[in-house]
Amino acid sequence: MNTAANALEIKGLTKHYPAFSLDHIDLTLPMGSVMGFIGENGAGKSTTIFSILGAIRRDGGTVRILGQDTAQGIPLSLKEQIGVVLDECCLPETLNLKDINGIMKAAYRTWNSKTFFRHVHRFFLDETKRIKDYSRGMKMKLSIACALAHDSRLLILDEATSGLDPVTRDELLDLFYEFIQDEQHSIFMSSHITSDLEKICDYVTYIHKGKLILCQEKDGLMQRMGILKCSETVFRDIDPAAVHGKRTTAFGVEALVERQKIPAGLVVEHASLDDILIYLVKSDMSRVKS
Amino acid sequence: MKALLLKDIRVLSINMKFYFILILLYTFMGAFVDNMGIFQLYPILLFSLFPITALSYDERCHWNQYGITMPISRRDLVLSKYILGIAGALLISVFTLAVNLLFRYGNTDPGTLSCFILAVMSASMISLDLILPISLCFGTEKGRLFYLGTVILLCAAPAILDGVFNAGMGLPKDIGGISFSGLTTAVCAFALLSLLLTVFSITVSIRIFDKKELV
Repeated sequence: MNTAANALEIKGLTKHYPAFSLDHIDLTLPMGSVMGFIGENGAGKSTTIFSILGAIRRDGGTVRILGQDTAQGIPLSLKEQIGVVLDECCLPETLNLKDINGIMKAAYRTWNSKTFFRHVHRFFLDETKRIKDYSRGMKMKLSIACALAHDSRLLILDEATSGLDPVTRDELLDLFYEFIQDEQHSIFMSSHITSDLEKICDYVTYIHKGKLILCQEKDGLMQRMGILKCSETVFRDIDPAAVHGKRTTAFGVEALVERQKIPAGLVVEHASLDDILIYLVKSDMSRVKS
Repeated sequence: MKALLLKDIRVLSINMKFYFILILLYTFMGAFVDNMGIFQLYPILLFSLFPITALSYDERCHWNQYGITMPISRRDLVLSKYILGIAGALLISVFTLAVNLLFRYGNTDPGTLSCFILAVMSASMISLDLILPISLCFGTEKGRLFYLGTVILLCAAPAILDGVFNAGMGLPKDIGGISFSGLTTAVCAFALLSLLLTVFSITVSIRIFDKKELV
C-alpha cells in the first residue's frame, strides 16, 4: 500500500478559457484529513476537480494523488483508490441497481457488491426502480454508494450535497465521518454549503474567480478570524493589516478581522465559514497569511 | 472495456427493444420477398448506428466525465464503441445470411448472397468509420447528420460508378436471378478497404478523444 504523506498535492494548477482562468492553484491535503473547497458559483471549483481527475487537460502545474504524479494521466490502478461523486448522477437513467452493480463489478477489480448493497439498503434505495425514477437525493446516495463500494482511499466530492434536504445531508455527513475513521482515507469536497463543511472539515480552501485566496486549517482560521462591528471613527484606528474584508452599513462598519490584532475592548464576534467567504469575496483582498 | 460494453448493451437492450423487433422482422421478411435487397440492407445499416445511439445516451447522462474517473482509459471509451459496432454488424450479417440461406434454400446462390451481405456489412462499417470520429469530436447530433449524407452517398455510389465506368456494379434487383462474375474479388477488395478504414478511424478517434475536454 502506498503510504504517501499527502492524499492530494496540487502545485501551480492552471487552466485557461477565453472568459475564465484557473490561476496557479496550490493546495495540499494531508492523508487522513478532510478539506473543504469553498467558492461561490463559477469560482472554479468544478474546473479544479475536473483538472485533478483528468476530465479536462490542465495548461500548467502538477497534481499528485496518493503520492503518484498524474502528469501522464491517472494510472488505472490509482483510479481504483479514488471514489468520485459529481454534482449530478452520471449513470445511465434506464438502468437499475442490479445493472449498476454488474457494470461497476466489471470496471473495478476491488468492487465489493456486498458493501454496495449494504449502502443501498442503508439509504433505502429501491432495487427495482430505474435511476430515472429516483429523486435527486436518492441519485446522490447511489453515487456515494458507488464511490464507497470499492477500495477508495480518497473521496473527491463535487457539490455532492447541493440541493439536498438537511436530513439527507446529515446522513451523508455521518457516512463521511465513518469513512474518515481510517487514517489512510481522505476527503476532498467542494461545496458552497459551508455549514456542512464546518461540521466535518479539517482544512478549508477558498477559491474566487479562479484564484486561491486562502488555504488553512479550519479550526485555526475560525478562531483567528472574527467579525468586528463598530463605527467609522473606531474603524479608522484599526490596523489595516488586521482587516480582511469590510462592508459599510447604515449603522457603521462590519469587518472581517484577525482577533489578535484588534485592540482590547472591542467586541469581535464569531465568524462562520460563510461570513469569511462573503467578506473575502466581496472585497479585493490578498491571500490571508497564516 | 467489459464494463463499457456491458453498459452499452444493457442500455440499448432496454431502450431499443422496438428496433430489435423491427430488425428481426425485416430480416425474416427479406427471406420471403422477391426484392430482398433493402430488407437485408436495412438491419445491417441500423446495427451500424447503435454505437452512435449508445454515444448519445452517454452524452445525455454525461457518462464520459464520470467514466474517466473509473479505472477506464479514454482509449477504452473509444474502442468500446467500435467493438460494439463491429460485433453488432457481424452478428446481424451472419444472422441475415443464415435466415436467407435457410428460407431461400435452392432459390439463391449462397456465394452471391454472401458477397452481397459482406458488401453491405463493409459499407455499414465504412459509415461507422466516418461517423464515429465526427460524433466523438462534435457530438452525436452532428454525427447523425453526417451519417445521412454518407448513407445517401454510399447508396448512390454504385449507380453513379455504373453510369460513369459502365462497370456493372448497380444494385441487384433480384439476387437469385443474376450472377456476378468478378463480384467476389470486388467485394473482398471492398471489405479489405473497409477494414483498413476501420483501423484508420480508430486511430483518429483515439487521438480526437484524447484531447477532448469531457466536461
